[in-house]
Amino acid sequence: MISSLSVQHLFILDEKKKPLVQNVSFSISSKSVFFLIGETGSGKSLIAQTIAGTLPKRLTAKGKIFFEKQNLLLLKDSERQKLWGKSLFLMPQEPFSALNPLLSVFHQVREIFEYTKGMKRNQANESTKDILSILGIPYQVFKEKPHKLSGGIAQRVLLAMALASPAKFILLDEPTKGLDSSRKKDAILLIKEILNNGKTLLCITHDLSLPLAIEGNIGILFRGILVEEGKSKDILGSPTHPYTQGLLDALPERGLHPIPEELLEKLERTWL
Amino acid sequence: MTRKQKGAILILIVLILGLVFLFLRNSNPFAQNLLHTLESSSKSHILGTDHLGRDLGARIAKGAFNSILLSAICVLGSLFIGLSLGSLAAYKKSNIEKGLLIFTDIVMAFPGIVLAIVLSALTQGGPCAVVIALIFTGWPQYFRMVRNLLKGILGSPYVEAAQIAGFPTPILLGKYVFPKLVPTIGVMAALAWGKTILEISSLGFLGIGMAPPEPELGAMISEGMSYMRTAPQVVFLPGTVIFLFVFAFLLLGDGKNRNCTGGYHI
Amino acid sequence: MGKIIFFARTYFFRMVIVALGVSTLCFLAVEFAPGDRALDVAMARYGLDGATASAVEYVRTSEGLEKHPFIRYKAWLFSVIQGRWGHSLVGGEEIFPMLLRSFKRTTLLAGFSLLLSFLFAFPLGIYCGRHPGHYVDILSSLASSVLVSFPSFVRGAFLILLLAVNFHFFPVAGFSSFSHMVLPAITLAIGLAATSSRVIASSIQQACQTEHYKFAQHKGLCGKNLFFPHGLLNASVPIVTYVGLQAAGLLDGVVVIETLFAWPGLGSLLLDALRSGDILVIQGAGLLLGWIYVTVNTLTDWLSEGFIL
Repeated sequence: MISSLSVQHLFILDEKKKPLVQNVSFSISSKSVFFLIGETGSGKSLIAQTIAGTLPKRLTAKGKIFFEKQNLLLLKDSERQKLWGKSLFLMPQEPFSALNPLLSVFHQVREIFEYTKGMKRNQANESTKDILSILGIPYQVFKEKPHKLSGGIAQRVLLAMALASPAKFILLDEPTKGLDSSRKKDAILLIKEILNNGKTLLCITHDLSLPLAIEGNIGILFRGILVEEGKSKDILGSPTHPYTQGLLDALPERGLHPIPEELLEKLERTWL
Repeated sequence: MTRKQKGAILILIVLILGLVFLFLRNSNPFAQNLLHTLESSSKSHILGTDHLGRDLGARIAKGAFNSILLSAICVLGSLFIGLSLGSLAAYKKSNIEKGLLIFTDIVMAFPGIVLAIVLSALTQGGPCAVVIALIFTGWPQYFRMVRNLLKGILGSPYVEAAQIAGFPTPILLGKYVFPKLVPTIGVMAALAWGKTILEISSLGFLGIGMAPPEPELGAMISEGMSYMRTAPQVVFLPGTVIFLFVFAFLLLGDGKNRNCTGGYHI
Repeated sequence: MGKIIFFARTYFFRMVIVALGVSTLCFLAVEFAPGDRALDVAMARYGLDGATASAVEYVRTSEGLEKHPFIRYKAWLFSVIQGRWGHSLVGGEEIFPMLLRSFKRTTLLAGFSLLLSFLFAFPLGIYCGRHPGHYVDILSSLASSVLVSFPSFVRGAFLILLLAVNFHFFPVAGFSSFSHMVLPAITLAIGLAATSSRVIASSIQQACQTEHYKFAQHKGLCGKNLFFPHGLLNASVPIVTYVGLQAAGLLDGVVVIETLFAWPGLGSLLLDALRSGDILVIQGAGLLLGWIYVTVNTLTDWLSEGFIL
């Protein structure tokens, strides 16, 4: 199995050299999805930012992140920028802040074909029309500015961009933030669609319903430490770590049991 | 207080001290002496004399004092009107507010200096026309700002909570609402003060406002233009004093570096 | 379509009110100003000595100055609407062509100043916006603050002293050749460029920090393809609004500069007319000025709305 991204012994430290993420290692095989699960403050967003190259300057990252035969942590900013859109695609959370309010959606999708795939204007127009239609976006919507679109269609526009992009690796940060269950189903379909197109996906989330619905690999992050890692089926079916069990018990389907305080304290003492 | 604001206060203190010093030397801004015109600094006249032999320093001091006073009146007047009307618009909904908005829109369509020029023909010169015109064109900005701010504040949860808790309205207004307005309006007023000084001196340059022989910095510059070649200080000393005041107000209002040029127009 | 109608209505409404307001004001100003209009006109026409009692009476009757103000105002309004703006009481010229000439000259000066200021402000502003904190950014910010705190006529006087008197590069004042326009235009342009460059810099800086700019970068765009459609385009909305405001404020500034440099434009015309009590010129000039102001303001509103349309 070809490994698309390999994180090895990653440490992320703040200005005072306090570790926010400790010794995290995992690999993502190509054309699969890896769910990085954690609550707020677990460090999952920091890991995502380090991979993306958007980690704030005041934090330092140590370790190795292998991607496309390079160690990402050794790259300068300008070299990192070259990866954006061509090898690595960062999917934004909120379509309405990510899309330029002054340009039509057609224009913004076509940009990807023109500038990252090097197509000429005519060819790019055709490709844009194709991909937007395939995703079920109505023809009338093409020339509209983003704020005129409904939330669902705007999400699909972002999906179109992800699929249009030549990047094989897509980073998804909290795709179900603030969504109700019906919209969540759309998000799950979105992820499945991306995988069907042969992309590799790293999905950062706190929402366990996603790995339960989609087959892939999973890593459970607790306060900056990876406590479990492996195939989602195995880990969620028979979790070895009490924290994972606690997360599962907290699901609405299983009774919404909050993670007991004693467990958290015990974990803090032993692991940190 | 940011460094900029401290700098501004420093400049202002220096200026005021300088002006007071010039005032106190008992020099008369009106005493002409045609034997000693356009002289540069000397023992009896620190900054020299103007084309009628009057002590330049005393004239600058008096003129600066007049400008500051006049502009303060204009700013306070506009502020008062804008504050009152803005509060009215924010409190009472519907028709009154709509009417006020349309009225403000129209007022904002009047050019400021032109209005002052025309109005000045009405009075016999003298600063009244200037003050009226500047206040008339000056209040809409406060109106808009106060109205927008108040709408935001009055709708906010903590004001609602205070109302439910039973605070009497004056205390509510005094402790909760008013303090929120002060920073923004304060900045506007500081910047407006500088802008008004510029406008008053521009009008003075055109011969509108204080009547001679009352010194006015802009008017002094206008008179001094003819002698600029031989005695440039008559033009540039008052000019520099205007600059120092305006710059100080700019720094004062702009401490947070939001707006480097303070909306001063050319 | 609805928006266009809305704007047309607003414009028309504003214009009528301002036109009426300004001209009424001018009229009242001249009416109730102390002194005798007829005397002022006679003095301006015939000089101080020529303004004898009979001359003044002649002026009064021939120009119909003894009629009741209301009647005169109404008559004036009617003739203006019909396009007959009357003639100057002092020189006897037809007012409309006179106004038009001055208007052209003022527009020439203002337009040239604006152009000059853009030539300078745009490159500087864009550079500072893309490199915030750079020493160029800090220096130009300081320079702008300083320049703008000087009254325009002081800046103008300084330029005159430096370039016209000391170095004889340009003539001091007047209106016969292109070089006469340079100094006043530069004076105005300095003030405009000082504020415009700051607004341009801060708009661009803000536009480049938005979420969609970052996303455009993440999409893979860089260089011109990134900056122009996602940075500059978005920044241009506040820039256009501000430039429009500046252009409107230019009207005030132009009056002062015209006086300093003896540029015979609309501002000078109004001032001279006020001094000589030339009623019809005052009213006409006031009307025209008010109209210009409303038009520029409305155009600015239009443009800033138009981007979102």
